[in-house]
Amino acid sequence: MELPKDAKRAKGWLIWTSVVMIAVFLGLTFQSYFYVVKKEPKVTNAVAAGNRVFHDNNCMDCHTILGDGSYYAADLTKVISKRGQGFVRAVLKDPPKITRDLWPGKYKRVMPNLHLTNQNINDLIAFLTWIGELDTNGWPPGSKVLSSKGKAKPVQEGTTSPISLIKKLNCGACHTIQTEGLNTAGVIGPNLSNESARKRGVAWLVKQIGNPAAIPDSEVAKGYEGKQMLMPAFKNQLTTDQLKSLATFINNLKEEK
Amino acid sequence: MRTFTFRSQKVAYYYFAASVLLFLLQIIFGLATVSQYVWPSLALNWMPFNVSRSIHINLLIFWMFLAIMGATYYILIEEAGKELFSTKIAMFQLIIFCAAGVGAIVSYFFHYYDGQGLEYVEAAPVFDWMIVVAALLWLYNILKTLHKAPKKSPINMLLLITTIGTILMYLPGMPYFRNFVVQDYLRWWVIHYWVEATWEMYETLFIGYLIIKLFKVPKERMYRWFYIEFFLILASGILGMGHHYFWIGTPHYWTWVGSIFSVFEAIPPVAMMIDGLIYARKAKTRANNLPALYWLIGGTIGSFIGLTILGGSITWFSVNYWMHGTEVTAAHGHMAFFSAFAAIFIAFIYYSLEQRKGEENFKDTITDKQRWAWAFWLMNIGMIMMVLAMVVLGLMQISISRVAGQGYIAAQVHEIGWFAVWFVTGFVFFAGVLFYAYDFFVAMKMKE
Ligand code: HEM
Ligand code: HEM
Ligand SMILES: [Fe+2]
Repeated sequence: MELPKDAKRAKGWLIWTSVVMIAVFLGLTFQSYFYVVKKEPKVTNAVAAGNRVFHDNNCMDCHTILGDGSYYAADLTKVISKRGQGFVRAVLKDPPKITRDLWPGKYKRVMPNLHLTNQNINDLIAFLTWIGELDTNGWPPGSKVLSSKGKAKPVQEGTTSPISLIKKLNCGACHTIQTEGLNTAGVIGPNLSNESARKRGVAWLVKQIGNPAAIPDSEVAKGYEGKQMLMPAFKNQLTTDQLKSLATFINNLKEEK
Repeated sequence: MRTFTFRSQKVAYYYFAASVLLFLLQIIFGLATVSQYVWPSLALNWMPFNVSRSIHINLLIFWMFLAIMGATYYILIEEAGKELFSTKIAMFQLIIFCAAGVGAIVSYFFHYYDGQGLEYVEAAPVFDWMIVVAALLWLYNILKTLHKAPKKSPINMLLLITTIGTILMYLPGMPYFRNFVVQDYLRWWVIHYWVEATWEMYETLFIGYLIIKLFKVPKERMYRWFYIEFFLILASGILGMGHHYFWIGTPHYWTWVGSIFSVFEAIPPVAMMIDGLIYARKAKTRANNLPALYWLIGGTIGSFIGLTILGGSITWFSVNYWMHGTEVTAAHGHMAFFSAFAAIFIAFIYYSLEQRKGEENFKDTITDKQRWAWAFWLMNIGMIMMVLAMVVLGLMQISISRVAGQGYIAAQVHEIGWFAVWFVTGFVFFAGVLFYAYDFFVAMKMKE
């Protein structure tokens, strides 16, 4: 059957435009492939193994990763640089126990136990570290203050203002700190609003903030025993002066009655 | 005017029947999924969230694919002017396809993903291969039917090309890659090139076909429209793929390529809606298949909301930066899938039921009984309300978690009430689906 003339012309557009578009798209795809393989961090065997564990457990139908997936649980793109390896390891070892405490009230949305082996967990951490090191064009919002390479670096040079450091490091995600200029409600770690009452001293707090793993269980705040590993070590993200200023500020926190 | 003239067109109804049942099941799993936002640990150990969600979105694809296969056979036979090459192959294809679907769903309860647990393409490779076999049988049957067909039909050529495209774009989701970025890049080929290219082309074909039939428009007048729609869809959609490559570790030029081309993806649904409305108004005789008419017009208006308004507003990268990975995406996804596909397929199914059972019968048993109207309004109103709840949820996530920088959980604890709204309005939608399913089987049992 003969097509009407105008239909014939439209058919011509359709064919030629599609051919050009497909050619351009395939060209950009090749370019993107070599960019991803060459410019982005290498996929080591551990990263690949973690990738496989990630697939085998269908993590993506609860979590987003690179923003893709479900919205039932937090995005995993920068989870290593945000939370620290220790935290991620603790969650993967016993998901229901650790994730229950992330929720402040009665409502607890917990992660099911995936029964991962230690090997699985190591591989997943390698995988998530690799994901965090990808150049994601500044996504997710707020991740620019975390280094784009995922490795810790000084959070903000030139300031020793404790309030601005606490905000940048997002201490409030885990700690409640109620004082002038700060109003955070985290419940993973101890409440710091009245830290002066614990009589820790600046030197002890420098150690706690810089490298929590160095604090023995006997010295940990009551009720938080065994949770030391949930706190990331901040020593690489802070200069000595910043660390001191932060420790001094926290050491002096006192609840106003 | 009856167009149901070939016996083999009957195979289409087996596909439609399966699609109706899976649609019902999809919505039940949708309710089970959203209920876990409201009562989070209800089914943690036997059906965690990722299992019910995978089933919800996989059933969606299965039932829609069944409707597409059925409708394709229906049109193909009529346009070719001869019986289907083999109804046996068509039935065998249906059985394999359903077996793959049921198998995949059962396998999720046993956490069997075999390296493929990725959103939308969760099914393990065995099921992928079964689907490929079913798809190839489909293609073979189509090609054999077209071979030496008495009538050469442009509509059939477009159907064939669309079908080949759909099958080809299933393949990139199948292999396993060590590199997650490469995997995600190709996973989007399946999703985006289905919904925003090949399935949108099916949508165009079915809308055009219904316009021809319901408004008695001469076929030749619609050819130009088909080609222009296809042109608009592919000219914008092929490179519009870039809107999924903004933040996944791919080169940065995708922000511009993706934004600029995908903005034009907002146009084809506008053309569909305007043409649908114009033809409906100009029609000399009033279309008497009211269910098909309502679903057709409702679907094109809904597509305008879901694709043009919701899709178009999130597709520019500087907006996408803030909403990517929130429930705003789900709002767009629900409205788009429902209107562009579900509504149009339902319109087609109502049309084909009338053709099979005869206008008189259909009018008495279906149109006059108004169950279809309940289905139409309950589903549409339920969907709009659910989508509004999702938009609110997304905006809360954006403002609390992102703009104010308080992290993921801070927003979620304020959102439970809105998830409850989604859950409750989901039952409005579900009631509509029950009316529709009942209507379908009443129509099927009617004398011919
Ligand atoms: C029938 C047509 C369409 C359907 C069924 C559809 C469906 C979807 C779905 C389900 C998603 C979510 C994918 C995920 O879970 O991550 C999505 C994402 C998206 N869609 Fe569509 N869509 C359609 C058309 C369009 C159009 C026409 C546009 C733009 C004009 C568009 C723009 C987008 C964008 C920008 C995203 C990414 C959102 C994000 O960053 O999270 N879509 N679409
Ligand atoms: C009673 C009706 C429904 C309910 C309660 C429901 C519920 C849900 C829930 C809870 C999710 C997961 C969202 C998340 O990850 O946070 C979801 C995802 C999805 N549903 Fe539904 N749904 C319903 C109907 C439908 C319908 C009718 C369609 C399509 C026609 C549909 C298509 C989708 C799609 C495409 C996704 C993935 C969206 C994304 O990734 O952004 N749903 N649904
Ligand atoms: Fe897309």
